[in-house]
Amino acid sequence: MKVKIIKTATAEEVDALIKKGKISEMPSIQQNWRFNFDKELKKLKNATGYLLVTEETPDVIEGCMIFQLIDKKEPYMAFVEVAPHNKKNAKTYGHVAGCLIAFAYQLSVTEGVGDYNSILQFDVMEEKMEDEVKLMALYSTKYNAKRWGDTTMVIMDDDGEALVKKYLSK
Amino acid sequence: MDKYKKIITHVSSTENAKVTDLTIGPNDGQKRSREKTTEIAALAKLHNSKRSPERLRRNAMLAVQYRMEHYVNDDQVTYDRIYAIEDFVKDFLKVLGINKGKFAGYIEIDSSNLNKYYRSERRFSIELSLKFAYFFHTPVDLWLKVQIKNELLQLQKEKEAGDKYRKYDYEKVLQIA
Repeated sequence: MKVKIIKTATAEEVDALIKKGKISEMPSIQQNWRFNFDKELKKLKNATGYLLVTEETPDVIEGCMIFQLIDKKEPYMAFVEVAPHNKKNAKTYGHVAGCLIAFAYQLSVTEGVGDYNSILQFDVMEEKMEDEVKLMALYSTKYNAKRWGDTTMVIMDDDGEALVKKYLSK
Repeated sequence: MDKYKKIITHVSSTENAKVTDLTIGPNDGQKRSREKTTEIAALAKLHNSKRSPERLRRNAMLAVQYRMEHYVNDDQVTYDRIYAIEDFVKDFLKVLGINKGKFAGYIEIDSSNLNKYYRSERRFSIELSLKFAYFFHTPVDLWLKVQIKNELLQLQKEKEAGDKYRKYDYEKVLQIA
């Protein structure tokens, strides 16, 4: 999927690509990521890993997402992380997480079955409750997510469509 | 079902949220507790029952549109997995419950002419691309992108087919002269 991300230094749009990633291509803690995407993807059932790279530097991973279809019917975003160089204020690129989440929502529309169609679920579980609340607030404000129960958040219908329009329709 | 309404809540934003890293995981949806699975199933069922027919139709239409967009952008597609414009039209018409003949009438084209476009006996035109886009509410350039993608796949297949075109070479012409 061709997308555009934003170069923070110049505010320019940069051509990028979301592509399926093999287990061997997935980032890990050794590369300063927070999670071992390679090991986790190997363990997950009905899951596919996606990488976001720019067209200019296709070997540098800017963000990573794992989409899972629980029991082959429930769309679930199992993992999302942006590269260490795209975190905090000094980040190289913006819109990386937005593009990956909007793409995951598209998959919920194309792959979700029955009642679960067009509902992208994910769980926000942090060690500290304070961090969990902050992260949920961020997903709610920035990505139109709503809370379902204690840890689960969902992106649905108009909210998801708006996300796709914002991040993928350029 | 009312008890589930209470736990569907908006999360209010805070200024401090900006400092949180955008990270989710690691979570395995397959390993959820039975209680959690039941709770989510009930919420999904309740939500789906409240969707209007227009919303359900819109989601089904978007599913076809997103598949088209993924198809156009997928470098792994090969000629044997080609998905023709007619196939996408059929998917949309199935959602709308409209048959091919009526669709031709709605976009003011003769049904047999439309079939000629499908069979590539006529060049898929910009006008037709726009008619499809407006009728199905898709981006205006999407249908043309599918056409170009499929022509490139056809080209790749012909190229791999062998030496059929090698004789068309200006160097050979110059040697003869």
